[in-house]
Amino acid sequence: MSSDGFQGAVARADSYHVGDVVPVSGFDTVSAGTNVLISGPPMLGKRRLALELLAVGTPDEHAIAITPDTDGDRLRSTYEGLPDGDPDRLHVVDCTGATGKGSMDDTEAIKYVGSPGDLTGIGMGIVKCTRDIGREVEAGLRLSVLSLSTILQYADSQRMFNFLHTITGRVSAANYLGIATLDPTTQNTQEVNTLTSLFDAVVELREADDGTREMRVVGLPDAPRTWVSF
Amino acid sequence: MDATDDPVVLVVEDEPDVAETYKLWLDLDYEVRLADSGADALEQLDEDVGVVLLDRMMPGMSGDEVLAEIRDRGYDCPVAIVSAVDPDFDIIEMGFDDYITKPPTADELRKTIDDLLERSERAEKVREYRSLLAKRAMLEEQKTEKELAQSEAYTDLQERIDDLKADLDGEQDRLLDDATFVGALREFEEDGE
Repeated sequence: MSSDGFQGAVARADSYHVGDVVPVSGFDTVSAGTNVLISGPPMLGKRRLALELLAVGTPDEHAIAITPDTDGDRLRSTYEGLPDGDPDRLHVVDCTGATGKGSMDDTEAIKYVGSPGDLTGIGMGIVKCTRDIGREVEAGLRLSVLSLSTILQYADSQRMFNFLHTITGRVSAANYLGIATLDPTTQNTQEVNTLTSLFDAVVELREADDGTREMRVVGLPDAPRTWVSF
Repeated sequence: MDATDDPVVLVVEDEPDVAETYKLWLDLDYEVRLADSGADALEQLDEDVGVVLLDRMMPGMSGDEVLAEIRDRGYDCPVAIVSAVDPDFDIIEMGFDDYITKPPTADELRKTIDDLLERSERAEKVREYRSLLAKRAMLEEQKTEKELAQSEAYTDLQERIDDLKADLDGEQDRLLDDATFVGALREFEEDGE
């Protein structure tokens, strides 16, 4: 490589602790390099679940959140309210395109991208974060895209597929834990299934007939495919 | 690009000795075009060019200006900047696909060119991979498990998907390089916007 000095840092973690965040047996820890999709209709708490998956690692790991629909500051304050959520270890890539403070200058805590459709800019944001984190990446990194559905409003599905293929590829090569959320009701089934193929496991959320929320995990050999309340 | 021919590399370098040295190094593996200025480079640029090596400090148009013009004209071939100043990530942010520190060795030049050519090939593979997955998703939507199990077309498709996935996964480690990672994303930006 002509750019050897800029080799993206690799995590040395073998697995990532999930604990009770996903109350499904066989999902207490996830192997390093795994990409998990959280899929379900709106209002069931996909984003919160994704943030909890980040937070449960931040006592000693770093986390990156790419946020296309909630501004970075608000996301950080939500994160601070979570048990284990250490905001010093959360790095945000805000691609809402509206910072609310008139400035798009990067800070230590938040990197700004002009629009949710600027996928290259999002990639650069990720690289800026991993450079900030530096050698501490070795302890583990959880990388999340909060709402593929929002990005899909700005990027056609071919570009989206390539974006995800590239991000999930980096996650597995570098031993990160990858997390993304998707509202499958915004796309046709074929589109959803094509994107889903890029993930190792899917956490599906749904509303049961009695109004409670249920989840199941698809794609992990050790996890049963039965619905559980959460 | 015609697969049977050597890939075309456009070298933009105002120092004749340096340009000739590059050509000597690269001639065996690539079809080299030499341009001694930004204007000359734009003159020689066409659809056949696979990679551009661009000197940063030139009289007349600077490398940065040439890059902007290349993109304005709608060419999405990868462009590596060759610079005596040790470049940083901001080079990638500016839209260059990679960078080479002057003076380069023959190996560094070849390695960078091959990396960039592979990047374009990878993008093609990812496109194909997506279309195979989409076909599979369509079949799975239309047919029962039993019909799929008996379908030779489905079995073939599954095999092609597995092969291509293995191939792409084998190249995954390249994405650990930040320039390649960002470049892989940029590869798709030029056609969609």
